[in-house]
Amino acid sequence: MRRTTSRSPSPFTSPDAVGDDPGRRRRRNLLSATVVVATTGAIGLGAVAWTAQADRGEVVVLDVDDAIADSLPDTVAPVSIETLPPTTIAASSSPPSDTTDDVASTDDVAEGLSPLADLLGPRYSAVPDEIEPRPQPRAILTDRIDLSDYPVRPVGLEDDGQLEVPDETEIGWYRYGATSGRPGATVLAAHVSWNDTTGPFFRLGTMEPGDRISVELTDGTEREYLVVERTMYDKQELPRDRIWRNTGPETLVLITCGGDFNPEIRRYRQNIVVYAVPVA
Amino acid sequence: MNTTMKRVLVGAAAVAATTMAVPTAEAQSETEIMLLHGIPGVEVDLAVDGAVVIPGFAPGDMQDLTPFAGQTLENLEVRVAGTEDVAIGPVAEFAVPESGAWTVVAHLDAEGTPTITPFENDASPTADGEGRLTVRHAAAAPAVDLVVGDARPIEGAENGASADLALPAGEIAGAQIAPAGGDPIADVPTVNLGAGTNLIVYAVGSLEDETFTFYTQEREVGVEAGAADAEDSDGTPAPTEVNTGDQIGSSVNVSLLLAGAAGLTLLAGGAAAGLRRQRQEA
Repeated sequence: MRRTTSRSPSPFTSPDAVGDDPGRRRRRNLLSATVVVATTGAIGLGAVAWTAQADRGEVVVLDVDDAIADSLPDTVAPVSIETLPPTTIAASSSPPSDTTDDVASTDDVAEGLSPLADLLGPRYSAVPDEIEPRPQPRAILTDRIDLSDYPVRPVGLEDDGQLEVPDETEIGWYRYGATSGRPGATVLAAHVSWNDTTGPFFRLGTMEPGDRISVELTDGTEREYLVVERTMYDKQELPRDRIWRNTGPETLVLITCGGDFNPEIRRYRQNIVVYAVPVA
Repeated sequence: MNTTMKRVLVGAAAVAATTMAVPTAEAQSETEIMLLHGIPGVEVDLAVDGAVVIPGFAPGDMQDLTPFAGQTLENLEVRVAGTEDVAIGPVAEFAVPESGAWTVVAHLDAEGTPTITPFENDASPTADGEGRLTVRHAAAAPAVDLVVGDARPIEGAENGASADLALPAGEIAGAQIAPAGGDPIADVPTVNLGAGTNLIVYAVGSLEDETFTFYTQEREVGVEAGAADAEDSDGTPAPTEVNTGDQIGSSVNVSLLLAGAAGLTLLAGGAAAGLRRQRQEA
């Protein structure tokens, strides 16, 4: 979340504003513990209020600590909170007398509102927008190869970062990519062969530019595509900016394995990728 | 982070004990303190020492308190909005964290008593293509699990707990909350987890009062540098590999199979053509 306010350094740097009584020094790394604040805090936050008035309209950085830390001793004996004056933060107290000349008008402070309110940053809402889950591909039909027996299901990533691929009975839709009808690449992947039998995309390599593809979505709608390209890539050369994206032109991407088989790792060395674009 | 804060109980007489170290300049530059109203139902005013500082603070509102980092607010009161009725407090002292990224949450504890918990946010960058999902239990409810399908990536989280999950960027739909080990009782809203963002989901409210709901906060944390093809990325997670085939049998040549299949197709095509011809003749 980005903040949009600008800040200016606090003009409050004069030690005179808080006094230099050595008995009131507080140690910076014990900031707020117990009472220290009740005594020096009274002054420090009084100064905050003064700063607020002097810098109306801007958000300022409070460096009360810096202003007093160098002139005060390291420790203060703890004091019971009950023994201290009840009002220590300076919403209603007067600014230090020696800074009176710098105090701006308070006319524009809403009635009853603390001058501290002027120092606040912006306000946001944490109430989430209602997001309808995206419709997902549930079936794919082509006029070249028969895929009607293979349901489509969402897939993600394996623990080692590989694409999760269903067994030879299903086609996987990459759920971290796009879905049909949205910007980006909708990726469907399936085996060419698995478990000693052919996979859904056994004949993906026979698809040609001009072939038609229809994707059916879980909301009941269908989306028509025209194949524009078929390319074979080495496994490590899949173009990220064309396949793994949720931005840019809507594209349907079908992926399977192909090319040489490496018997040592029992895997193909290449991927066959078919690109299709929506039919206007 | 070298800052520790203990929970400050609203209404308790005890003074918040805080230990803070001197922040580095770098840490200070990344300081962000947010205050989240995580108690559904009541709009409030926050008053400091008798004067309202945050007026009309509604459930789900998140106020940037960064300008108050390191300050101690004295005599803090939570009032019913527009009135002098004190709903929570007065708190003698409330220390706003001095540095780092924090979300201070006013919420109900497990028994339904209002409390304030400062949660420290992990501002470190995510891996390429990933986001950080943080789930925080800030509701009057027993320990819960996060249920996603058959998995329970978070188990037994108690009130006040915060858990981070590094996940591939994308839509997160269908997650649910269940009492630890039990059946799901609430659907987590669908969220979009962007790469390089920390999406924080707060479970708030009360099961008993039927005010249980979710609030969300999104923080940009960036993506770790160094990914090889990061310049080609729009943040979509890229699989390391697509392995969509093994060999059919040990001795079968797939290209032969392909050739066979093509031949079968030709035969089938021929047969179909023959069928059509026969029909035409019939």
